[in-house]
Amino acid sequence: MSLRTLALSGAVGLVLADSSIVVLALPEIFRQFDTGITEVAWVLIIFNLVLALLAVPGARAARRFGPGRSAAIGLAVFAGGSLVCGLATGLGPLLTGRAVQAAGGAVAITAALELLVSTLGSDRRAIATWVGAGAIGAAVGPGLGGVLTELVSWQSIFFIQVPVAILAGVPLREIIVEETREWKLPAAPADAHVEGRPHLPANIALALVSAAIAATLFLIVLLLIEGWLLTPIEAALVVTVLPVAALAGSRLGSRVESERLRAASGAILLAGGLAALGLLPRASIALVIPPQVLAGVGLALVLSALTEAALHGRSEASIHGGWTISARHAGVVVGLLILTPIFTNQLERQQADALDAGTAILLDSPISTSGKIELGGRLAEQVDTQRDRVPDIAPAFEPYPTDPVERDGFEQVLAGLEDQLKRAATHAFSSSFLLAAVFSLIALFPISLTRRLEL
Amino acid sequence: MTAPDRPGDHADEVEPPTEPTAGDGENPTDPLPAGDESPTRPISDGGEEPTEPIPAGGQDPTEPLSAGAGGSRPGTGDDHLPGVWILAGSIAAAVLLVGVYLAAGGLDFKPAAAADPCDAREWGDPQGLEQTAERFSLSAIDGAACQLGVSREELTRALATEQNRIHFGEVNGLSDAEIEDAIRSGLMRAIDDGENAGAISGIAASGLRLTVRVMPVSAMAALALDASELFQEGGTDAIGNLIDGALGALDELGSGDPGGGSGGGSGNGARGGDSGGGSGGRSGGAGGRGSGGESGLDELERQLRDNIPDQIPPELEDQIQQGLDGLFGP
Repeated sequence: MSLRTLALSGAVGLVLADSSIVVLALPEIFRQFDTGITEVAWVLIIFNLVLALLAVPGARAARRFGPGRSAAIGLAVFAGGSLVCGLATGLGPLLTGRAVQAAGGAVAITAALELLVSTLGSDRRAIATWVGAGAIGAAVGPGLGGVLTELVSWQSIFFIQVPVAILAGVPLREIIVEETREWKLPAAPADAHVEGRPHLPANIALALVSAAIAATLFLIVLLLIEGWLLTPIEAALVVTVLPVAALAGSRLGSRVESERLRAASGAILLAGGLAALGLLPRASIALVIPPQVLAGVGLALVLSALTEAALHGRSEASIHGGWTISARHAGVVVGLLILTPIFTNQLERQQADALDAGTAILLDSPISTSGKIELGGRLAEQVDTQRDRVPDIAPAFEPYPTDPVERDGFEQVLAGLEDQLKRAATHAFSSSFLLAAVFSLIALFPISLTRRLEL
Repeated sequence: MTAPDRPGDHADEVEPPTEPTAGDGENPTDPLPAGDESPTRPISDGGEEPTEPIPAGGQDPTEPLSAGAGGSRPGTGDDHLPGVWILAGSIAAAVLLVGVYLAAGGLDFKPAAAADPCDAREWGDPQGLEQTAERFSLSAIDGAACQLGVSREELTRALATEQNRIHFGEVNGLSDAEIEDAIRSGLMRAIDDGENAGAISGIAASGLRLTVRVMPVSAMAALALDASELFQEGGTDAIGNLIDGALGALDELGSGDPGGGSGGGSGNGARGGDSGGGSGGRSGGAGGRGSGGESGLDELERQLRDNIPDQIPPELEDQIQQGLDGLFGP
């Protein structure tokens, strides 16, 4: 792989990783900015929304002004946006920075597709590289973000992107020089099979599976960190399964002959993984692995198949690439907008149920009545101070009583309460995961039309 | 709106291939694409040549569109897999995983449901006064929750503080009177349950019933949450004191001296006495409980003293008197 191909792939991976890289940092961000899950979800939504809106105009700009120059400008704007995000002291500036990042990113990735076509000499290979880089970036993003959040800070996620974006632009200097010397808008090829309009079924299917994929990344991370109280690094390790499975999925996909069957297989695997996540029988990390394997393989199969279906045989690869980006990120936005309130509402309900279950455990425990009253008060205080999130109740049990019988009672109650909280937290995600699985299954309808309805 | 089919558009409708084919394996008649389908073709990283013209539309016009449009895959020769196998495998994997998770209890992994407070809860055989007190409290909360149509757990939290109680009333649309009435019913149920379980004697139950009828809501809430004062060491004194209060009140009713302070003190002595309560009168009883400050029970006793003359109905007077006569002799 040449340096330029590497740089272009890196740019695509960087931008698309950004749609998910902050997922593991969200809990930290909403704690620091003292906001809620619904508000902090906009850190993801705004990026994906702007990317969806500007991908096609960005692609048109890339064709008009030259993909090399456009990619360089896009990467510079992206770097600037990243800097704003890193320096943000409130949710408003952070959202502004995210929007700027996405605007630059939209231009950069669509121009990168145009450049990859010329660099690799084959549109199919360029598309495969472009799709692969994006899929790996999106899948690696959460893990990387989690590690940076825990080891350094959530701001470091954005600061580190500044030099990476600049470095990705360096190998473009020769193209920029060339384009500056002479750039003409390429003429459309005089081929009867060239289709200028976007491939509607493939793009609709992309939007639907992207909504499901957004749920996979966003909800798994929240479940692990907020529900099961894992650290960001621990969560990052757990969700690393997803990109690894996606890599395996792309290898498998390259050997599957039918685009439509590959897309359908991917959607089914993705739906199966999501449904399994919605039906977890225990709060166990081991049980999160198999669904992620299915979802990872599935997303690699379905994304590459649908993107290729949407691009093949269509002129102006960057513009159709822009449509696929638009469709995917619009799907992410719709997915987040639909699933976040469902999830937060469920979380509230499940917290109430957990509170009842916890109260029952305390009432029926062998702790003395006075101990129950005192512990109940401390627990209520603990829950109140951690409003809007699954509480860490262990501090309420400190100090443990010295009487061994009472101490045993405390330990029993703590174990029982933690179990109920994990049940509640896990169950709170069930509806969202199951709905995301439905999105993926609905995508089978447009997938079935990818051959016959060429709109 | 439909565009004309492209040569490769129906490529994957020819599936699965009956034999390995060259190229993408989907349509043997497809021309071999000029792209990277051939494994022997060197990968073109031609971008290193800056003067290379960027193809119109990002697509090499010399490349047969059919190859791309037909959804042909980079997989070539013998290494490609029939799509149907992958589809069948995907369905099997998804169904298997979901089935396993369902069988392992995926639908049941949620917080335990609160028990119906209207269902009778087993008192079992409480050991000692503290367990008796605990059972009493739980029964009382169950009874009140049943009447209010909420869970025992929700009501327990509501009664923990005044603020919680007000919030609980607002959320559930319940007035203070309704809550008070429910707690009173709950305490009555607890007395019944305790009596039925043999944990509270008949006479104590009578005294408690009398007490509960006149008890102020604050004392009731405290008693419902923690009845240990009634049942703790020397707690029989407390019951005795309550009965003393009732007796005193009855005496006062009989003597027409509602302002009278102490009631008859015989009850305590008759019950086998103890240090505090046997000396007759409620003040001794309170001392016997050894409470550091004014408790709900102290308040209760005061309320008894103040309210009984006006509130005891005649039939209850008879009932209490009969109970006491039965225990201590006429």
